Amino acid sequence: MNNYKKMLILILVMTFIVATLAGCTGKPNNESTTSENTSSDGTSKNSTNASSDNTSKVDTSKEVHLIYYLWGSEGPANRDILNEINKKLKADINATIEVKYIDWPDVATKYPLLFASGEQFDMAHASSNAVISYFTLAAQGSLTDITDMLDTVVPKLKAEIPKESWKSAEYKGRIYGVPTAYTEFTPYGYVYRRDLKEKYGLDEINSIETMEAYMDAIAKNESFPPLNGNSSDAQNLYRMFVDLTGSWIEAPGIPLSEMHLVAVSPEKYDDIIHPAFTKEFEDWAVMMHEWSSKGYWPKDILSAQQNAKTNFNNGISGGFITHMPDWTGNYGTVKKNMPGVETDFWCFAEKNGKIKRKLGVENITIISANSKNPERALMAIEKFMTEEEYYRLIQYGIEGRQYEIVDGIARKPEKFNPDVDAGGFAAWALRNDRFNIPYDTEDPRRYELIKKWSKVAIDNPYVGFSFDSTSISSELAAIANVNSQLGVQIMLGKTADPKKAVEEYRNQLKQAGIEKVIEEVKRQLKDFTPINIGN
Amino acid sequence: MFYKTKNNVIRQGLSDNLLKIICYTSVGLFALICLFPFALMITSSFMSEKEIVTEGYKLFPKKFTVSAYKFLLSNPQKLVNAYKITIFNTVVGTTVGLFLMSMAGYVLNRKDFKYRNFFAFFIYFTTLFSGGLIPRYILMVKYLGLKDNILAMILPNVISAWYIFLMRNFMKSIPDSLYESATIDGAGVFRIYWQIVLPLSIPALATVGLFLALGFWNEWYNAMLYIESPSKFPLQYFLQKTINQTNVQILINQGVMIDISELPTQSIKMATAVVATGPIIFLYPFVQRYFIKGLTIGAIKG
Amino acid sequence: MLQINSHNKLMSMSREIRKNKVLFLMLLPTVVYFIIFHYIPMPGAYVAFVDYNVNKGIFGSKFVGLKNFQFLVQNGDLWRITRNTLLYNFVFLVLGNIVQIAFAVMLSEIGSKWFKKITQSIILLPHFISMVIVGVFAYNLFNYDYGFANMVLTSLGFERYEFYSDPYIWKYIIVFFKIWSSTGYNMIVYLSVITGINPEIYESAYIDGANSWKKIRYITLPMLKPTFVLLFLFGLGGMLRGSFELFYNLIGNNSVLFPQTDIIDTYVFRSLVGTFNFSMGAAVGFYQSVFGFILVLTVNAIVRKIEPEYALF
Repeated sequence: MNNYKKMLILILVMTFIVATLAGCTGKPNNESTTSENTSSDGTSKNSTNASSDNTSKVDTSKEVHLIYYLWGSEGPANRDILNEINKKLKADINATIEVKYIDWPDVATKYPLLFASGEQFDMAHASSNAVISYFTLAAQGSLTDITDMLDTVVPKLKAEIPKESWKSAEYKGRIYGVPTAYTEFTPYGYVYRRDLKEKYGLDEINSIETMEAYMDAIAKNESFPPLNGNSSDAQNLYRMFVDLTGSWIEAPGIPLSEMHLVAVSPEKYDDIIHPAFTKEFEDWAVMMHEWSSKGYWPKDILSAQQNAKTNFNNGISGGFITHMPDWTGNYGTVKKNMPGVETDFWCFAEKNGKIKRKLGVENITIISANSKNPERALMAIEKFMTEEEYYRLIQYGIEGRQYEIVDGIARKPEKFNPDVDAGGFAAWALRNDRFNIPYDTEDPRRYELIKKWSKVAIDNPYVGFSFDSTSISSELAAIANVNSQLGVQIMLGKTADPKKAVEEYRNQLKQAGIEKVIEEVKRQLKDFTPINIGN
Repeated sequence: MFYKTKNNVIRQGLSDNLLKIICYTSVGLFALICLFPFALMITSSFMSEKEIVTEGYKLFPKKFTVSAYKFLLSNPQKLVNAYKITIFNTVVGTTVGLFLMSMAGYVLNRKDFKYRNFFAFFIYFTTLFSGGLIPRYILMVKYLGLKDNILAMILPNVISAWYIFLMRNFMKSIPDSLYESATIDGAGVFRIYWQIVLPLSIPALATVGLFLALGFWNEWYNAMLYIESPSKFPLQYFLQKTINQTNVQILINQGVMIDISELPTQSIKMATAVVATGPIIFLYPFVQRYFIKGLTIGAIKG
Repeated sequence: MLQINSHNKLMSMSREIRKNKVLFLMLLPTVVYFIIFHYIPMPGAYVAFVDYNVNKGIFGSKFVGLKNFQFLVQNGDLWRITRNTLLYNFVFLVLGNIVQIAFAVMLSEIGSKWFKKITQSIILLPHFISMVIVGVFAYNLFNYDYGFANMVLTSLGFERYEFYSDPYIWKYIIVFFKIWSSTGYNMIVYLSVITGINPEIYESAYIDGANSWKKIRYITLPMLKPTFVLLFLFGLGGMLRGSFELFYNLIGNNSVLFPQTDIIDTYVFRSLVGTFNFSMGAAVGFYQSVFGFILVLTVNAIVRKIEPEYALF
């Protein structure tokens, strides 16, 4: 009896609380929808205003304060740089910006929360690869539609950025952010030591055979393995496999951070397969098993704590697998840590002509749907990307304090004191080829390769395609699990019998719903035409 | 007891000695196992980066270097500031928490409080079900306006169901007769709590207070979520940031360019850990003096 | 009938409040605190049943029923990871408490003040060491090529052992590290209970000829029973949760070890790390909560039958 009473009271209290809560939480929802309405109304009003009177500029008589979210942390001199920027912004567009930072280790938690909580801010860095993707944000209505404003408010910015980049930022035909104007290529390759190659009288690495020769020599003669890495190398070896195989090209569907889907060629972009079901994959699995037993990587690679790059930089790995900018960016560290050692890079995708131009949408600046001043935010972005003085400030800092330019190369000044002068912003999305200056810590070959690849690079056929994964989220989670277990083991040759393991891997993928995922990708691709087909 | 033989006393002494030997050795051995990683942490903080990467952590490094500490202390302002914030959070949070929770534990232990079981359940229920990260974040930021507010690091941890139950559990050992005699003497419920129960609960307050203080000292998660100004960062948030670099690797793999020469090295990680945990360790020996034997008896007699 | 009943109920409640005004006032801050910080956000758990869209809000998003739970059963792994989690937590709870009680009792038997103080503080040290660092140290200890354990084995003339390829041995290593890291902390509760025991009871027992063993067996341990029950009941609620940091940092991505070391939290982490999904994460949390809730209600009811004073509520 007593218990019944207790339960009754409890239920009463709970319903009361739930009811009040529904009231509470209901309200902000309404608010946010109304504010969304007003903001979209506001923008459309603005655009109609502006289009009816094309010559009139945005009214900047009222000073505004813009909040800009970036990844990274605040250096001691960041305030000083920002002051310089704000002096100019105040004079030019009557606005000031305040940068807020999400530090690297917190990105995974805080970045999604920024949008989930409906926080008030103006601009933020975004990417199609971020924890919460640019396209998801656009689909959810977290971003301001800037398509019309581009013509009316910032025509100069619109002209500055290539058409393909704008196209890559489209979601259902509308643009929600300003993509980078910086040409990037991030194909993967094997970084190795030239001095060791010469020591053993080997040829330059440009194929599996020459790579095996180098790895054999290291594994036999040196005290460290040729790829002294950790479990993240499973994914690196998978990338290597995809890049080296025919005309395969990575396709949307399964996140690219795991063993993903491929299209058989850029032209047949809608012919989607999972590599696991091919003969090539089986052969690769056998080869990886062989490499593992030959000691190309440590026995405990699955649990190793340090990655191959860290080990390489400390002289205990024969090489590491990474993308080109990471290799060339490591130049300064190698020079400092291992004087006299030169590195070379075998790019996997080059031979089969599969160097892809990086999409603009992979580094993009967005304007929040909650921003009260989207025009002013856009104007600020325009300043940063189209005027050299602004560009130098946000990308390099204050001349003479954070950088100086000698013979066209930027470097830290003599009197640079990291405790006071260190500073800068991770505003990659605002970069522009036109104003870029090479750094002395970068391998000069970066720019040679960019020049070379610009001529031969292909466009990603999926520019402008955004995959909606909501209907297959449980299949994707199940596949992620299969990949992280058997997938990783196969790539690092950690199974007893590679052929049997591949068989088992296929079965598990099927059970996890790989067919449904492929169907869904194909279905969504039906309504999509790549922009550069036929170009 | 007059019949206790001499023989018996000797046997009593022998087995007691055996027990003593067992106690000393097993406690001593376990303490050594617990000390080992900490010692490793301290010695590694004096190792050179190259030696750590190539040869692993060592109890006896080949070469001692203080470069990690030099790096940490080159700009002591930040560190001093973080210490201030952490000490403030710990002192305020522990004091307020102890007061509120000892009251709650006292009320839940009063047999004449009819709804004590209901409220016990009301409190316990929150340890099982929670609304999750998003509703909590929205509550803290939108409705309570606690973004970038020091209170955001104190409030979420100031009261915990577990400590209330622990308090109640300790207070159970105070005999009911004490309440009765005090009530007859005309003392109100609050006065009984303040003048009788609290002084008798010193070991309980010391225990829960120690737990609370350790919790506030180690707190970094709420700081990560809600605090923006570097001037309000607590100590452990620094530690967490330097030690946990897994996300950085994921970002680099995505093509993000981060200058890794600016990332903390292994020895800096260890030095940060030493600096951040060092002082709080001395709190425990200090608290131990409040684990006083026989408080209850004296009170009843007096 | 029901109306009258609830009317009576309100009457008696208001009478009760009037009678015990001060007690209610003393409890008020705590109750308000739990309402604001726990009960108000609680309906957010509903996110587990919707296709969450930020701008529509939790209650405006589309209701999808149990779809968010589906990925747990898709590969048929639910039973395996649930069993692993239960077994690990049960061992942590029972063995952990036994070790804590043992060390608390042993420390109380130690006469030397300085030895007691120093060891007591040292045993607490592991509580402060981040699991990230523990993971790195474990690798230093157990790796094949230069791990400390293998150095010892080879110097004694044994073969090297591949610790990181043997899932079975990790069961014991994980339990060891868990006990190692939690003993000092939870031991404090038992220690403070022991110091609270009336010394007169011991004195009279000594005079009656009881040796230290008997005193422990017949006085100390029974006095610790309510605290043990409390700790045990509290532990039951989190039976399907927890220790993610420990497992993740010791095992990480080494899938060879997963068959014996995969728990719900690590499984979910791996499934959702690539595709960010609040709803699916919440679904798992809900499963863990309901499971713990049923477990606690059941055991608490049993405890209430046997010894009402020990029950939680």
